[in-house]
Amino acid sequence: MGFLDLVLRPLARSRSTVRYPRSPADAVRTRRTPVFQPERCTDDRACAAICPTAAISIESTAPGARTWALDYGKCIFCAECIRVCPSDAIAGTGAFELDANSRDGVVAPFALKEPARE
Amino acid sequence: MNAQTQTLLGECPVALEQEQTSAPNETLVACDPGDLVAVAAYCTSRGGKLATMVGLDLAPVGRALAVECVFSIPAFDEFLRVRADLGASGAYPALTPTVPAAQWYEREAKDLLGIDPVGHPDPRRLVLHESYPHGYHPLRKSVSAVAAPAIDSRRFDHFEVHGEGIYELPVGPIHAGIIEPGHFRFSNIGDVVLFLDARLFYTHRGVEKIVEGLTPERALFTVERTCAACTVSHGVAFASAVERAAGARVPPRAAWLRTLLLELERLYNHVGDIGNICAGTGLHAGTARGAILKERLQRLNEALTGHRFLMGVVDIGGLRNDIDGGVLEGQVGQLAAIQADFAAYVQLLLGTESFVHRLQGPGQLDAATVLALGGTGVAARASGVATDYRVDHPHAAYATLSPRRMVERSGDVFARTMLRVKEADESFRLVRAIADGLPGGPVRTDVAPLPAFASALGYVESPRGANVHWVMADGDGKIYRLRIRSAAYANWPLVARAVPGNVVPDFPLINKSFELCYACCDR
Repeated sequence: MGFLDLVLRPLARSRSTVRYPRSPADAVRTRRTPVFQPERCTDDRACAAICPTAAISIESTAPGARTWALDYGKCIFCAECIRVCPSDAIAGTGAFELDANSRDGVVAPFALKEPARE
Repeated sequence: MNAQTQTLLGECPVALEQEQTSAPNETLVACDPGDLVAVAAYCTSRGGKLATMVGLDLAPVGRALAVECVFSIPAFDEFLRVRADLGASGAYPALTPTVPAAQWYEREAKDLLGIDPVGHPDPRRLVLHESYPHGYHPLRKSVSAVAAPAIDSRRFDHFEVHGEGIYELPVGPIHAGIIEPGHFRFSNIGDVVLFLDARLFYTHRGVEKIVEGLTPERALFTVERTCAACTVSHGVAFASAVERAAGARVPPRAAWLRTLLLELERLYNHVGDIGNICAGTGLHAGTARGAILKERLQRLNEALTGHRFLMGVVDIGGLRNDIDGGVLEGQVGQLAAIQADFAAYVQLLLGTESFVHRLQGPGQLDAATVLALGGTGVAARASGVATDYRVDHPHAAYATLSPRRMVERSGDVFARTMLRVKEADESFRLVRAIADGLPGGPVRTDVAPLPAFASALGYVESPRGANVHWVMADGDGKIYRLRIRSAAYANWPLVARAVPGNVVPDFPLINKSFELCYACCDR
């Protein structure tokens, strides 16, 4: 029957798509998404130095306050930051819902503890 | 150097001075710029094919401009690299009148480096459009990669056809859908195209310039992103160029897994391309069915590597991550189901006479044109030119896996479609063979820092044909110069030759039968 068969056959079948987000997505996620754990950070800055897209920034936001931020809009999920961190402060997770309604929304900032050094 | 290469060099009418290389199947010789045409003519007469051509600015090391022609010699898996120091003027007699395949390389070197191929039959700009300032040659070492040149608006040069009843049809650079930018200027009489002038390089991002001064490990992230659909090809070609320059060898498991990735890339591209050819004929059920098969293959890619386009897996010295044997076994099982559905899909397409008739005839390309212009991959093989780097220059694990080289004769859209069908079947077979014979062991080895000014080639047979990377290190083991010659770059001039004589509505179909990347070509 050729193409007619191709058109009619799916009518007898159940739906192929999933009801995400009402039911869980069936995404297979084996590439790790870096998620920062500020309490473990020893202010080594190896992550910012290795990042090939300069997605990680460590900045003073106010006197005595500093912020570690990962821009998921720049991150290419290479996991180099996870590999080089000496204190395991960056976890590789299966998170994939990273979308936001604005450019700033995809930047994940974390307040850092006061610098350990000096 | 093997005996055959020695004979080849010995019989050359020009005496060539040999220089040091680290890769076993590369021979580097120095030549006077005045002799370049004679050497190139000799190489092509002995079965050599121009694989790439590289312009170089050696001013920081006390020399001047240089040009290197790389000839692939498929008969005995050898690359002959002929380098000529040009001096500060960068002038040398153009190769194009003798070796037409050199046409784009010479125009590109003129734009990007100010190298002057004297007597080139088409001296128009290629990579940098007319809007770039005169005398701006970004690959010169004195030019900053980040300083923006002053862009001007100027009318671009295109070939015009004059005569009664002839009209021009401009198409692009912005197209419907999500395809990349390219401007096509048709000169037509009635419905028939007399001449097509394709203007590309709208997505020129200066990839080669950006990576200069980076370590190879860092540069790889950028090089992989030259093009999404060919990311494994670019990654493997670049990594192997670096490994060959450093004299390193990847572990067997890494070579096998790289072969797996290359075949998975070929599979989803070929299957997706067949679906898109249906779009070119308006057969929407075929397009949709092709898209479903491609989606399933991309999900398989993600399950195996964590990335639908297989990015971020290749590393210098091997792979960044191993692929688990159990996961691979499971996915190969999935692949068998996809292969069965693909076979049914192809049956369906071939059983649709109106579709088959539409593919037979348009976009005919003969073998002589392919050979003259240096065509590669699917486009070349569909016109009866048996060139496949997997066989001619076995890389990764292809020497062990011995893939079958497919050839079609008719050179039309139908031939390119059927060639993809056959090659996809062969890729299904190869993926299974890799899963069955995959050796154990590590997937990565440490690669020593690149020796100062060492240079080497890396090459793979990408889904669209031979992808050749040429790498040279600087004094600190970082990238001094990278030249990416993608398959699309070699084949775009063929598209312009396949269209004349066809009607305008067949252009989308012909273009889709080549399915060349723009980003790959423009870099």
